[in-house]
Amino acid sequence: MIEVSELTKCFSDAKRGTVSALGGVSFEVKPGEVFGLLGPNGAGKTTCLRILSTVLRPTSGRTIISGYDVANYPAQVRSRIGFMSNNTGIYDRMTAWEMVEYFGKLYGLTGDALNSRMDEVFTMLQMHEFKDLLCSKMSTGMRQKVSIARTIVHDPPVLIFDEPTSGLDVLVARNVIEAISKLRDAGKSIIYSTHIMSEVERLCDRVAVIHKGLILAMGTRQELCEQHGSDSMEELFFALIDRYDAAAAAS
Amino acid sequence: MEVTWKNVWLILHREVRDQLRDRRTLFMVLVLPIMLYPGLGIGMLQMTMYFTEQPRQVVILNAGELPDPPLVEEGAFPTRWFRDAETSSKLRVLTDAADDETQLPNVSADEQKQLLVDAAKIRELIEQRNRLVEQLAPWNADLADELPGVQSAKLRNAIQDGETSEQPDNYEALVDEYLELKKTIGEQFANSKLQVLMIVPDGFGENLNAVNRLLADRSSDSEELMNLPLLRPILVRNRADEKSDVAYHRVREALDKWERQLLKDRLELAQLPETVPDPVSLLSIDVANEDEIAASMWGKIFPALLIIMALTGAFYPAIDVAAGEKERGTMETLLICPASRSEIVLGKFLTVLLFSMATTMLNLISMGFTGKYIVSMTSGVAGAGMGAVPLPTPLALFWLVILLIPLAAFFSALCLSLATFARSNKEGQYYLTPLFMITMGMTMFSMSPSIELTASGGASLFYCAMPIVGPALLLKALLMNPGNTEVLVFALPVLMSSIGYSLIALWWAVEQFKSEDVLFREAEQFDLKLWMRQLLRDKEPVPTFAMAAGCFMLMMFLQFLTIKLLTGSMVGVTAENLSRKMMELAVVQQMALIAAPAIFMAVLFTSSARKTLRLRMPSGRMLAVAIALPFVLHPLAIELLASLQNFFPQLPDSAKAAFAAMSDDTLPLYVIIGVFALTPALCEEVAFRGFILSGFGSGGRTGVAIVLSSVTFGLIHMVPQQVFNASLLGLVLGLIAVRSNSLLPGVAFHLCFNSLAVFHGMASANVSESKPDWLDNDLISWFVSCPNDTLRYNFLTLMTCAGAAFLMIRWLINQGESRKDPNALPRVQPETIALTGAAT
Repeated sequence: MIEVSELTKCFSDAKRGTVSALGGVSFEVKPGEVFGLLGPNGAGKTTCLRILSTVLRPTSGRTIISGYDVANYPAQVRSRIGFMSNNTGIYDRMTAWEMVEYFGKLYGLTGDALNSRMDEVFTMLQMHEFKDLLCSKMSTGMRQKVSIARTIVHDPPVLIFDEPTSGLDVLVARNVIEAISKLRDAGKSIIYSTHIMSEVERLCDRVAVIHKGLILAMGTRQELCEQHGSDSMEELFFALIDRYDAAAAAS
Repeated sequence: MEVTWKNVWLILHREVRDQLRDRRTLFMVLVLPIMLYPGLGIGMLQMTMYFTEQPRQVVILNAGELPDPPLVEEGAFPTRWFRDAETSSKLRVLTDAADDETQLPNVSADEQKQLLVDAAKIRELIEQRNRLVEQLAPWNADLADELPGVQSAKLRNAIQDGETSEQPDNYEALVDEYLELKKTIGEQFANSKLQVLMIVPDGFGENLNAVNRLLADRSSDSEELMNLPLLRPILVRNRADEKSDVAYHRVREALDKWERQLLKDRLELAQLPETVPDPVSLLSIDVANEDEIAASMWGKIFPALLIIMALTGAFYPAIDVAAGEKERGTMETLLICPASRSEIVLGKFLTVLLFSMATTMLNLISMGFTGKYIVSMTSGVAGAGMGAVPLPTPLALFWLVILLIPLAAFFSALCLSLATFARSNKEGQYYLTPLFMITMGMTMFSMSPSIELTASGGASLFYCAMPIVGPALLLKALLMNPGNTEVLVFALPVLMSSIGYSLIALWWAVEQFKSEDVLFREAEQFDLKLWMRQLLRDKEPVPTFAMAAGCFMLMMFLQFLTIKLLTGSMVGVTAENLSRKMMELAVVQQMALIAAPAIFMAVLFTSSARKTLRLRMPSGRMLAVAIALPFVLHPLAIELLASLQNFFPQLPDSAKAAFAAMSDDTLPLYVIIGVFALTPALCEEVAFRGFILSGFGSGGRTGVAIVLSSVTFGLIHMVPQQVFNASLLGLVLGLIAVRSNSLLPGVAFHLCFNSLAVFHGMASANVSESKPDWLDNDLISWFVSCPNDTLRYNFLTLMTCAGAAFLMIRWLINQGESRKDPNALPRVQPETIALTGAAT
């Protein structure tokens, strides 16, 4: 369960002074649901998700994850989410097994519970054949699997994926999408950020289009298409962004 | 802050394993120390075996005049003129004696001839020079030294007492000629293949024999002996050329021994005992035993090595675990795990500490054994001198390990902080050089023989409180004399201060881990033009943190630049003008070096100099408290400094002179107050409570800003006592400035406080001259007394003051609770463009 209300974030930038990366974002994600965050690069997706993962502090606004306020109970929040992004790399000088085991222990798993859970995850992601390979020697697909295994090893109720398929070939990307839909079926609350339309159409129950730190539209795919009178997600997306930019230029 | 040790252990375990899998670290930590020293040792041994030194060229002119026993035989000094027979083979001697037909090895006959021609040329020049020296000596002490003993002493005294005769008209021309000649000789000598030239005067041997004869013939008139000319051979060398210098010292050794033999012969001839030239005939006994010699050697070497190795041992792993983690993109992975920032930092810190200690220990062990092995090997060959140097005693080694812990902890924490700040491995590496230089400076300081920890020594505790220096000095003392329990009283302060500094550095590292700017800053390219434009155009109302730091650096730099200027202008100031001159300088210094940079930067770099310098009226209550506080803090400060007197090093003379000037009764009171109270109150407040405090506080962290502004305020005072005193006062002044948001109360406080110090100085000076009657009054003696000619405050005064100060400071602290931070970022109102609504 994720509840985000009126979230803002400002950075001070060397060239542009104070920059507003998020200008009041609100949404909620229910268990068993994949919420898509759709937006171009620099829209504020990563900033938003970093706030959710407690790595950044919001300038204002409230975020509740599994009943805990992100700003006040970061430790409790961290132990209840799994977060994966382009920036959450894996350790080159560890093997797949060691890497996942290390994070499992940090999340408080021990002994048999840890071993059986790891076995389960490795089986689910088909990782047994390279479990003793050093991460530095792995292909991109293997690395992505290790990363997903690290994200879900503690079986968190909330999962956040920030462009998990960027840079992957289609086969691996399909595996990732499948893994995530299995997690949805297991009742997790999932945020999925991307700028790839086909993934949104395949995976997401509800979508928010985010641009320049603002949510331009939100709803199920069908609702959005009906509201804005367009046939595909892609058409809708471009229309929304063009309209916003035109309005911003006019004012 | 709650720390789960299980997480710390997990992180430590992972980091250590990670480091051990990294080839670079393994190489630096394990392989290098184990292989390096034996490798170096073997290399050195081989060098000494295969490379023998080239013999150096000595030419002796007029060698036929040399008396017996022969100084030169077959193109060399005979081995009997050297302590070590081998030295003889390192000098090749060519003489111009008629019967000398020696063909030097590896030198052709032509070359040999050329050498003699060169030597003859130089001889002519030298003789010319000596004539000039005789002419110039009466007015030049250095040249006078060259003349024979009695004459030289006479001239020197005359020059010293200013009783020289008038210089001849052509004196300047002669000096020029002398300098020109000196240059020519140098060039000639360098161009020749000579390393040392010896010129024997004509009739040297005969003269010597004549003296011998006269001495032997006791009945002869001593007048005759005195009238014999003093003939002195000349040795020419070039001290700037190492080859020449080394050869010169060897020739000297041979000549000294030869001269000793001549003296012996002379005494024998005169039938005098051999001991005549040594009336005192001193016998010195060295009671140091081998252990102690070794201890003193280790005491000199080990602390420096320990420091350098602890630093390098900490540096590379620190860069890898912090900056490296950022660079490899795993920092965010770690930050989203449940381990808290403190646990992460602690885990990483312990890793770095472990590697720092391991590197140091391995280095020392490897070096110790290699050294011992090589010494024992060479001692069989070369024999004399080195002997077997025993390894340090177990007790000394124990102390070495114990003191390594605080040192390594300090460096580990510091390196980790720097490495966290760095964006990448490469940026991290850049921080090593400055860190290394500062460390080296402190190490050299603590290796100076005059700096030591002694139970009675004044500044010992102060040294203990310094980072690096404290452990280094304690280690030095313990290695020199491992059984010395006296210095152990310093162990606690040294450990405490080291732990304190380590904690500060760790706290900084944790802070950095919490800072979004540090964790997520991108590698921006630096554009000077853009930066300047931004600095001058996009001004904020108050300066940034970096500007405040820059302002302080500028002040320190200006102070450093003007030290020479200021001391220069004090030269030649007469005693009665001294205080006046000093005061003028103090005022100039305050205005030009402290106030001016701050005002200049405030006007140039901020959009509101008024806000930056807090130029607004304070509330009446605030002003009242600021005026009242100094009166209760003054006695506390005086007594605190007095009780810490032995903690600090002695005041430098310049500071003593400044204090003396405060109670100079020849100057009117308003001048003294103006110089020592009003000027600093205005200038220092503008700088430290104005620009610097505003800058440090611009991030919204008032507490840190007050501490930093007070530390910088302290540091600008240079003298340790004053640094301490000013830092404490800076805290109060910072609090007043922040709470009143005005500069005026600070100025009032500063003015009152410094004025009180001036009055106290004057009163002390008065009572030391004549003790006034009112001091004997019972009631007053409860509050004030006068031991050792200074005015001191008694317990009752101090308690009253402390109570009042506590209440006032608490009032000040509470003032801010309700006030909201004026520098906080404004809450951004999201733009509401109802696109969804508009579309329908």
